[in-house]
Amino acid sequence: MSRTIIVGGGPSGMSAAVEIARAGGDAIIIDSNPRLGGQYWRHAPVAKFSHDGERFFALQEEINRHPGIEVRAGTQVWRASYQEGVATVWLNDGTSLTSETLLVATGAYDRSLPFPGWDLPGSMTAGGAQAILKASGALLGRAVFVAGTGPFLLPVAASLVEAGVKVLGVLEANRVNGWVNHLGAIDLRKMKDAARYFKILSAAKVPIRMGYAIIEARGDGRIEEVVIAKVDRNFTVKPGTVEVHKCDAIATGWGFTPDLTIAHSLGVSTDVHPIDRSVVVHVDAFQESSQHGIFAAGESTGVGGVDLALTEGRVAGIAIAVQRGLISTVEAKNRSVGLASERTKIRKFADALLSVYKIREGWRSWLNPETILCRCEEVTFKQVRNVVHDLGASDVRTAKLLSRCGMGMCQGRVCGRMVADVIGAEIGTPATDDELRGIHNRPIANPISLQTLADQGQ
Amino acid sequence: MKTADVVVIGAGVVGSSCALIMAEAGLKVIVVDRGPIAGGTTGAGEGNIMVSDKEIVPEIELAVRSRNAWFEIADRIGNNFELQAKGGIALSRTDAGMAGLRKLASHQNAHGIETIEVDGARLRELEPHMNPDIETAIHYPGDGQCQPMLSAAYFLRTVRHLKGEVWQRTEVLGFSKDKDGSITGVRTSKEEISTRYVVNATGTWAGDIARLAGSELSIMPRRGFILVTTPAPKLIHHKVYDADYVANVASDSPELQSSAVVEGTESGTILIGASRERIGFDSRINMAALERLAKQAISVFPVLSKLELLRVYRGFRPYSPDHLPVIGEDAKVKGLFHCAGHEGAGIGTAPGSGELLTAMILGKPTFMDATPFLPKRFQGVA
Repeated sequence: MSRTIIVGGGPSGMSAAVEIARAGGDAIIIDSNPRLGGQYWRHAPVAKFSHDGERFFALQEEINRHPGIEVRAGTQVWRASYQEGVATVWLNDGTSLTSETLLVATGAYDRSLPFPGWDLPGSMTAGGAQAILKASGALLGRAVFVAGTGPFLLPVAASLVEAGVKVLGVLEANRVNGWVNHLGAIDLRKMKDAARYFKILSAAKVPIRMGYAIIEARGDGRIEEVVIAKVDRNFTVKPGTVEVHKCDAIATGWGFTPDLTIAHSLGVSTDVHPIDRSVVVHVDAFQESSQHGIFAAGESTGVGGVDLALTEGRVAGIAIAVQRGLISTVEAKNRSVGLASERTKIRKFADALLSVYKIREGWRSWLNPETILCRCEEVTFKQVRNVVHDLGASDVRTAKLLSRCGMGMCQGRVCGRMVADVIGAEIGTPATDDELRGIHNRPIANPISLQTLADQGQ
Repeated sequence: MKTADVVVIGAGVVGSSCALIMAEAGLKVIVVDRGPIAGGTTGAGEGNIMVSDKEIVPEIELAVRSRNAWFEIADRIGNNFELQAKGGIALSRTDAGMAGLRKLASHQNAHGIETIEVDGARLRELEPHMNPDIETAIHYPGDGQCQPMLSAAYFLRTVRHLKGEVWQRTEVLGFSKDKDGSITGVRTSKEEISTRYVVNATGTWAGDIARLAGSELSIMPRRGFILVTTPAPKLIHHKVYDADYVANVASDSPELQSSAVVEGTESGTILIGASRERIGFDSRINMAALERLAKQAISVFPVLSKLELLRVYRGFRPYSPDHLPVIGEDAKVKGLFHCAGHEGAGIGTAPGSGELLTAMILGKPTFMDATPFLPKRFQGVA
């Protein structure tokens, strides 16, 4: 059997690789980033973490130590297929790999919501802001608002403060009581993390405002001020609560969307998550998908954070080792002690978070006709409404194709889900499960040079 | 029960052209499609409005009239569908190939298609990025392009404004006939429509509708891939293709065939078509087809080697046994009119096909002799 292909070198991919190596197996990790670590452990060439670096260094050290694990960083998969039990991935360096076992560890990307001015320079996603800080330490502005929903806003705001940025406020659109308790419910580590973020933010006198949102950004050529408002439980603006603040950048985050592009190309069965309606890979207790030999771990099976990703990665790595005949099922049991219950516990907690930090429908009332929905193709809300109400588009795909919304460079990664929700609302029926699945249908997963493509056949 | 003068089955570019021209002629039209508008082959095409690749006289006549009809429609309802008279360039790098192109051009010229043989210097003016080893070609100013989905959508919008109706997600379940076997109605998943005329504009699925009506029609799918690049500044100004393309379209061989047809679009992406395979409705990506298209396109425009592939369209082009469209009344079922089997030329020849059918239904003279297109040629009736 050929070495296992691991697509994604974040926490789940790394922990799976380590388990495979421990079982005496070999694997190749492919990641588009220049270094291992994924979004969570994204770092500059010389790794330095403000916290939780030990786990990264331990995994990295073990991966480096095993000659059977190759890391091909800075490489993109542009196409994947699965036929007769064999997975093939084509890489943008012109090569391709095949294997009977493959782990989808492709993580998630930021979920964005548009609002007037969200396309101005100075507006970033929370994940994007943190990625820049982690990768280069560059400052994205001097005076910044962090807004959106979810526990991820806290570490982003804290790292901005630590980088010397003036954080004018953290705006959490949902009203969450006992934020710390919530985070603490999982384990001591989370409790410590949350306490640390709060300490940093309170020392910097950063106000944390519950039930507030940025509903507009304004400026001449880049962000100069934001309009913030109190929102009700449905995210609709409460009259008389509008405030205008000067600032030069904003970081907004609305949770994450699992990246199912590769999984979709491999033809695995997917579920639509009952809480946030994200499309996730359907896996069994061993993290194996509906396709024999194709495993998935981490955010691609449902947004759950680093601890869940590490646990699922281990389960998948051990199961792959068994499937490849590297270890017995008895041995696998010994190596898996506690993993299943750990996974259940964290998953439960992750789902609780998803419920608390849900995106509520009222956000659409922040839009005005000229608000850009698709930044790649510069498609406005008005244009999307037009293809539905004037041209008769009656489903997400047709509305997309007629308006070009989601047809640009990012292939709908930024706007796909949000546009599906907008179109569903305009049509009067929410996007169906299959329409949500369709968002991830990108046979060309990443752009590939035509020359590289032309040379493939040689 | 609803009543209509004509029920058009199929909301692609062919069905919507028929519906538009019939509605403009004063007929009450209901368009029925089991899916969304432009959800089939129309949504996977380049938007070719080509006169340059037509060889057989009836095809040339249909293409020339259709090309002009496209621009007349744009004048009437507004050009909201990126229609442009960009012109085409047909090239070959072999003497034999060029001889073939010249012969075709003079034949086409005799039947109303403008053709201009251009030398290397002129070619560089028309297409500055073309490979310098290409020294001569035929320029067809008449070739055009549109955005096919938008075209169908705007045609149907006009149909609605003319009191017509468009029923999406409505399946045709069967047909009602009188004792002579003539169509009297269409049973749909929504409700029955009383009508004397039905237009079967369901492309690759036209055979199914014919069977449902108690007749038969052989329309088969031919798979085609089109590569879409990342957006770029305007590099390519015409529809540029090599002569092998024409040979391929007329070929009966099932295996993969391709030759580059390269062109820019208003949105900045460059389209590279078109492979052709007769392998049924298999929607998997054929790597060999993609590689070959990329290679051929780069050989014509070396600058393309610097661009990236962003998306791939795949579509199933409907073709008939003799590669001519099927336009006209069914030989067995009165009132059933077919308009299908346009293969890769469906976008371009849709308006002319709609005009032919409208004239047939209204009993008026057609702009050309439509005998070669009549369905009876496949229906065992002399």
